[in-house]
Amino acid sequence: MKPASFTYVRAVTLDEVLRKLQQWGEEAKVLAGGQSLMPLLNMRLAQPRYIIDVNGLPEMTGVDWSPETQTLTVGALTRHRELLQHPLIEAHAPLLSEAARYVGHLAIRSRGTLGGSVAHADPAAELPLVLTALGGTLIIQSVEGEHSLPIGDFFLGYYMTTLRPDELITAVKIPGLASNSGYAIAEFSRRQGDFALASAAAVVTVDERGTITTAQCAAGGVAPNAITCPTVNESLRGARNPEDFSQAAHQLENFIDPPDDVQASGDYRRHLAVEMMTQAIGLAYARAIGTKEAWA
Amino acid sequence: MDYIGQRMTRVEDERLVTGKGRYVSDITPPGTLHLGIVRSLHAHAKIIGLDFTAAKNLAGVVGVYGPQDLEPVMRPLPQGMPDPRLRAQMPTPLAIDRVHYVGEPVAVVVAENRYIAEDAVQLVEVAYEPLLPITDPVAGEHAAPIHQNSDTNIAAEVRYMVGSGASALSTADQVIEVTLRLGRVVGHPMEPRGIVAIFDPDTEDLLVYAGTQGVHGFRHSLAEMLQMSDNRIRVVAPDTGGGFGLKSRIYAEDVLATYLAVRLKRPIKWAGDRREEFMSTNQERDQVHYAKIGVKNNGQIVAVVDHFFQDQGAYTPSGIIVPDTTAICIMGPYRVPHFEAVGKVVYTNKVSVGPYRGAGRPQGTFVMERLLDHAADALGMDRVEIRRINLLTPDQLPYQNGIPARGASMTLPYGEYQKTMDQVVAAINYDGFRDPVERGDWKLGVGVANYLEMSGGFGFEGAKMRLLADGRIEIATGSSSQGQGHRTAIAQVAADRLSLPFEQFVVVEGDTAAIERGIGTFGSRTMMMTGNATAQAAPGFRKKLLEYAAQLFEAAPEDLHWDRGRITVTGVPTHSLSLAELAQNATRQNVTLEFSSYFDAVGPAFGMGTHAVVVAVNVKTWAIEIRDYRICHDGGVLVNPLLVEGQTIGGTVQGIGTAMFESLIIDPDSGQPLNATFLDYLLPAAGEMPDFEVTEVEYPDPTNPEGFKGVAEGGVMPPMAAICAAVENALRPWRIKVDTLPVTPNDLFHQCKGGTQ
Repeated sequence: MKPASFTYVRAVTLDEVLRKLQQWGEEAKVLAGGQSLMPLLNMRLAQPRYIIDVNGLPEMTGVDWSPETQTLTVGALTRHRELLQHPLIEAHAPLLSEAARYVGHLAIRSRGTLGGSVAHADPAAELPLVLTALGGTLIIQSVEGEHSLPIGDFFLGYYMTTLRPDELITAVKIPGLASNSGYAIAEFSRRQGDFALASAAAVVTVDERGTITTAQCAAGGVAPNAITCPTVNESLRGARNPEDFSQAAHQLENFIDPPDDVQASGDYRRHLAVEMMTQAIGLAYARAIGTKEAWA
Repeated sequence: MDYIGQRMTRVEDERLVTGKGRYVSDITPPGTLHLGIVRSLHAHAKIIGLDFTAAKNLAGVVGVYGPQDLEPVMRPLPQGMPDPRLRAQMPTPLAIDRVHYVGEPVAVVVAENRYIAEDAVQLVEVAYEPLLPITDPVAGEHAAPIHQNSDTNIAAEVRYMVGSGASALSTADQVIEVTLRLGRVVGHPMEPRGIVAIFDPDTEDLLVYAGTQGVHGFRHSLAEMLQMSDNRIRVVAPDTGGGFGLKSRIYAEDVLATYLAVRLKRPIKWAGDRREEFMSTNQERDQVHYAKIGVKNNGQIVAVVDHFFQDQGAYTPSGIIVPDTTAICIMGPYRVPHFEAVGKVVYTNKVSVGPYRGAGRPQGTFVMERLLDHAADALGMDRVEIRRINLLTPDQLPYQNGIPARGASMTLPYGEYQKTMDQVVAAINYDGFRDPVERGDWKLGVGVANYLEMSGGFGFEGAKMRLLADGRIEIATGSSSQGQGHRTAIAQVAADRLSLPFEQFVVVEGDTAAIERGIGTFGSRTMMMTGNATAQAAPGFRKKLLEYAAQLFEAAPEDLHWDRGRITVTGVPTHSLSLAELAQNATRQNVTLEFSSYFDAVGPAFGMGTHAVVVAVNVKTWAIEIRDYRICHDGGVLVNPLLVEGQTIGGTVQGIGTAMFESLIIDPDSGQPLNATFLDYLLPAAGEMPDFEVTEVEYPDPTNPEGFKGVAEGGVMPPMAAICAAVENALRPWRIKVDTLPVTPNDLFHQCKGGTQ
């Protein structure tokens, strides 16, 4: 379990990274927290010729809140541990903090990064899941310039994304949580810190009567990537009690078709997905009602 | 001074927890070359070609070797625990012409470092002609043999009969049949296997560092393979991070490393990694049992009959110790008048089975305890009550259970089994679960399982005491430590038996140069064996010191007084020497003050115990959580209750692993392991473990003077049965039976979704 030999480059500027990525293309891999890349290298499942270490690049670090656009910008190098502790994230995207608690163990959370988790695209990872529910946008750069991409357009399947070899995720933008909104993540794993067998995230907004007006739900671990659940979202419009939530969550059943694997049967994952979705919606709703009452 | 019985913290701890431990991986002499092993990608295949050209051309590669290149050591590894019942198959260090499991060594690379070695491993081209693998022991019994030199796939049949065996079932009121399955468990010591071999071309001696559980046996096996005499080889086991039985014997890599060290005259290192642990280190459990219990309507056992299959994997590195111990341990602490066990040991295309903590004890316990639960259910009887009826009573003990041992019957010594069980049953509030207990979506259930821990009881072990120049006393022994705390516990025994301060002792283990003979640490034997050898050596050693002091004082030895490390002529306080002063005299006068004693085992010790567990099952997610865990355990005379508790809890955690988490899944068609990383193979982790409440009882063992019993395997025996029982109890409205391990949320979902509720 030693990696094949590679050339290690410690980048000093973002520009340098982008130029190297253009030059080396698929032969290069970007090293951020290394929590997925290092095992892949050590097991020789990945054998890139170049490793570009982006740790410490100021252009990819930091958390900003823009009151004008009501948008939170989180640098791609933000560690999971910072997601748990940062006051701006706690204030404007608490779902991200809540999700980070489920990510691996202390050592993993200390090193792993938001951008790394998104780029790795594990179908059961928590951060892609909640960014999907929150409607996050990725800031992607290359030597050709910068563009933004809604996260829903990013994932292509198991560990596959639309990110080109010469591109780099530098930040994630998340719309601030509207008032009268609530959020939640629920997941089921065999052990604490494992990837979830199934997970769900929900963000719901309620009107003054406590009826859901909009919902953005996402499911993880049950498809080749984190998915939005339009039928669940639709079914939740006008919902206000647990039976409605359960019924909405059951919309998932025909929407997903997870395969059997060594950890669980597809049927069990489907069952768990519905259960997790029910729980996430219930908690998100309760929080939205709490917010509404706090505002009143 | 009564050190025996004290909960002393370990003298080892400061070093080990502050990172000062020195493991095989830490040892890299100048000029060391590193091995990389080319392993079979197929479970069963012919090797039709090996091409080393590209690998040899890689810079930094010193050599690449196949079986033809290493002809002098291409003979089968020594058979561990030979047995007349066994049709043994042992591997050659590299597979010749055929491979029999995924991971079998096919070729070996020697390179300047491990990175280059692994690069070269990738470049070795092996052409295989795949053959159909055998992956199921039941189907494998009558399949074409996987080994060409044999006409059968059955490695052995283990048979035991007590009373009239199976025919007694006809006299039972009810006969209950159960099929039980235990998954394939990968042991996983924290430190993988590894070896460093240093050959001295001038003296032609070989120095070997290996994390082995028995340095003398390891040395002897190497000597046999290398055709060297034992005394030319020194084997040292430095700090070793866990063994659990998996490191009791030599493996192919040990032969490759030592042979190449001799041949290349360079230090050779092989530090196995976690992937290699998954693919090459002995595995365990993995049995299917077709068991029957015949009972009277009042719950009394008439007969127990078990036909089982051991999925042995490709070879028999430790003979049939696992299936044999399984059969022997089934009857446990119960009165079973008629008993029959037939275990078929079947070769399959998997990693070999060898002892892993318990070595069959957990399997035997699982069978008996599950049978009792099923029988109680069939009779409409309480599950604890059926145990109370059948547990041996103090007036029946000692009890000869009919299993042959040393020309007579195995004999269970005195104990108060019902009392032990009742204590645990009360502690867990068993009666509180007579009616279903629920907390929202969580259904709670209780399970109880008993066990009879068989420990030690074979071979010998020595203690060599020597007065060091600084007045401390060194105790050398042939056992070796993989984290147990021997250096503390052995010193406790010595301190008491010599009436000296604990700090006066230095325990040296794991070095063939430290003591002439030894067997090692397995089968929970070290405190029984080395502990007794130490106690046995003490009077002789004291006599030796007194005699020498008498010479110095020109007094008679019987006039000397021994008090906490000072030797004084009685009535003449000015004539007094500390042990340090005695040692200085001895050094000056060229006198060695040393005394050895070897203790021979008389028989195994037996300690009975009970585990009781409360689990909660969530009927929405089928999550299983352990909410309460109570243990009562008989460790005989306890040398260090803190260490005993650690052993008990550690074993229990590993038992919970087998019960709820661990199973290496092998694709039935290809023989490929499907979850051979820690991402997918679930070890029990701290977050899932409950707090354990352990109570110890002390029934001294009659087979050794100190009354010690082994305590390392009791913990791992009953958790499987107790947890299955508790899950069934929690889900009683569904009326499911949980007889396949590990029990998982996925399985509960499938069993319950069309169930009663």
